[in-house]
Amino acid sequence: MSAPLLSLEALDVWIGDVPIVKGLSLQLDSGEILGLVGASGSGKSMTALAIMQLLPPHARLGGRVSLRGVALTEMTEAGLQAVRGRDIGIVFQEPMTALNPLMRIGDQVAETVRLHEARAAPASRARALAREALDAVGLTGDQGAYDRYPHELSGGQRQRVAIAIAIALRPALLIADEPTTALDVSTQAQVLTLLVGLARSRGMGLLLVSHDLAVISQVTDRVAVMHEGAIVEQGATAETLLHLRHPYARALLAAAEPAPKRHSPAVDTASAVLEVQGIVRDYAGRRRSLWHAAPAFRAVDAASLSIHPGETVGLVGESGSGKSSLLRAILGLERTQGGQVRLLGESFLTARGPDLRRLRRSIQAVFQDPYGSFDPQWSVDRLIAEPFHLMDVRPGAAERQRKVATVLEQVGLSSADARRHPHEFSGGQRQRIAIARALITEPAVIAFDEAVSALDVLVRAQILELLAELAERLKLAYLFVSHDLNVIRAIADRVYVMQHGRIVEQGVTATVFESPQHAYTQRLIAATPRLRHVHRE
Amino acid sequence: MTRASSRGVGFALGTVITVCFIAIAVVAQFWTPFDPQALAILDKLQPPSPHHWFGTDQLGRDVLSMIMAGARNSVGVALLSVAIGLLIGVPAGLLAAVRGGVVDDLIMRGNDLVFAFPSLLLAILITAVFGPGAVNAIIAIGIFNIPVFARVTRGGALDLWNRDYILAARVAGKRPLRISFEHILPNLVGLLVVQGTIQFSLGVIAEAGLSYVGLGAQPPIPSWGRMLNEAQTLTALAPSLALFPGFAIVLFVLGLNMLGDGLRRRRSA
Repeated sequence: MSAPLLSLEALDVWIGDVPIVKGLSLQLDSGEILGLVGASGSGKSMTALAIMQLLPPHARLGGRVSLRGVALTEMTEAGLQAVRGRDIGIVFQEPMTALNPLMRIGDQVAETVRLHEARAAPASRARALAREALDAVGLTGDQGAYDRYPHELSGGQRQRVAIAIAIALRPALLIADEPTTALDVSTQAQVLTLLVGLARSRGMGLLLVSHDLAVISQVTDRVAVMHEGAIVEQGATAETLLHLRHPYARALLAAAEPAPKRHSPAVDTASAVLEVQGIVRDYAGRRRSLWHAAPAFRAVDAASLSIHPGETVGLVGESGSGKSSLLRAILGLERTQGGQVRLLGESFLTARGPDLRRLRRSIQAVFQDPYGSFDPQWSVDRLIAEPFHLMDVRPGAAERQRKVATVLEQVGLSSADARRHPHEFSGGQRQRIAIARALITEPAVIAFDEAVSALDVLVRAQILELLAELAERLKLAYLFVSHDLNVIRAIADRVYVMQHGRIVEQGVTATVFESPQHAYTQRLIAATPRLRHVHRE
Repeated sequence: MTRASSRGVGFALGTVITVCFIAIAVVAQFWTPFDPQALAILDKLQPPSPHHWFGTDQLGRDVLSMIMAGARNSVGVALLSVAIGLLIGVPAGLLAAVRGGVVDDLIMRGNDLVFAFPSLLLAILITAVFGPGAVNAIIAIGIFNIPVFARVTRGGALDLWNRDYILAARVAGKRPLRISFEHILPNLVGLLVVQGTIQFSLGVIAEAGLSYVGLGAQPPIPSWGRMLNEAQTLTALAPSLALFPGFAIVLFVLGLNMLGDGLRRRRSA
């Protein structure tokens, strides 16, 4: 029997003295698609880098990596350079940083070819191969794709270029490390289809690294679940996902597709806590002539929505759909060109002075980036107490301390955390602090802008659980903006779908998901990765 | 590893040199070995000796005392001109970043206007019009620090203004002015300290240049630039007279630059 395409035997990786990968063994055959799943920090990316022998300089490697029986771990750097790109292709998560912004994309693909066939290949052959690779990833030459620059392409197109570079020399093995995590759902579906198609048609081995079991369940033949540097479950995808034994793997599975919200609170539909009517938001475009005003780009086009007391409303759309612009307009952070926002029955956008402060107290917000949401120099208690600025009478030191402690405990942190600084906390804990800050003025509505998108699947599940519990206990209404339909499905009672600045569909979450009316909604739902092979009872 | 440690050495050396010169300037305020303005024609043009470490000049003044008093003059002028740049440039930059639009255009085009003039030439013009002297030198050099600080502040503020914590502060009902002072300015301090160090060294050079052409501090107040000028005619007789102020300028500016560079790397590391 011939050697498998890729074989890892007792692979160990240390960074300094910390073991990152512990005794990992894995095999992959030609034409097979293997999913490597784990939360961030599980060592899955380090494993991918170890296969390429591209570990950071202070990392140490033990064990054996072999490609078709040849040990990569015993090769010289020069030998490895020949293997990388020619026999093994790799695609990373971030398509923008993987490309040279100053080079035409066709030339970037051709460069890989030329690097590996030094004298043998004339430039014309390199270009021909590059064209062929771009064709294979769906960027056809007759559209002038070869001569374009990375900044002229969308995120999905850039990722296609990165894939073209990886497959230009028809490698036997392709490693894709979170290749679709930075992409929108419909683009993600296209890129996944492309990767699978290439692996199948070329008989290429594909190692797909991801934190998302839904993605893995869709496309892989076999799956390996990593936890703290070791594989805890491994086997044929369908079989393995049906009979997960390891508790960590089960948690990962549950988090990949959070259960749809079961019961919605009894909502008083007669009154609205937040009523948004016909909001228009224009951005000035680039001025083309000295004599004409700059053309406007309409990011939000007469969008209306309403939220009843205690209700969670989802606002979903792909990047560029205008959902974040709408959210900022509702919060009064950006000037609008039309429409109005009524908060607790009063006009919010025209309110001034004490009225504005009182209304602002009842709408607070949590933003996406758990690392950028806090002034790095401020302590947690000062950050959380910042909205006290809205109080007509600022609370004294003792009361402030008591209130900060209360909200910290409400979000599952301890009152002792108040004296620490945000950099001492993990991403999930920071998002809890951001929620505590939103709670401190006892608002009626909290707006979330992609508030769980930057979080790991397991942490995301915990935060969603916390939010649901807080909403019920404190009778809060949420406006939850996300591009992730699985998240919206898990938390929202009602949902609005946004495309090109317009609300194209709205309704009760379950109804919209089960029988979407608008073509765009249908496309979004179809593109969202769902767990296969697993039946929820 | 070696690169990191050599950076560390530059930073340490820069700090030591800078602190030494500033200490000398402070000491010179209260004490110098001799009165730097006292003439002693009989002791003129003495070479360095245990009594006069750096020798004496053509009027018998103690060169070491003059260098020390010159340091005081140099530090004073550079420090005050940096202060002028900070006090006017930083608020202007913050305002440009917060307001945007016409205000931003006005402030930045005003900046470009000042930048468009060769700085030393205009400083000469200013001191020529308003008369030579330390105060006018400070104002002339300070004017050129304004656009530098305005530009650095505006750039840094625009970057910070896009952070989510600014959005959070606005959700907390804070106005742009308050946010500028509570969130933007404290996070710009590092950037401004680095720029301040660099402007400080440029100020030392500019002051030496102005007093070299006789537009800086007026006699009998000692200054490095004028010492160089006076030594020029005596190079053949007493070469050490030009050497000491020249070295003082080079060493101080080098130290400030190493300090500024080290601070900048520390920030980006």
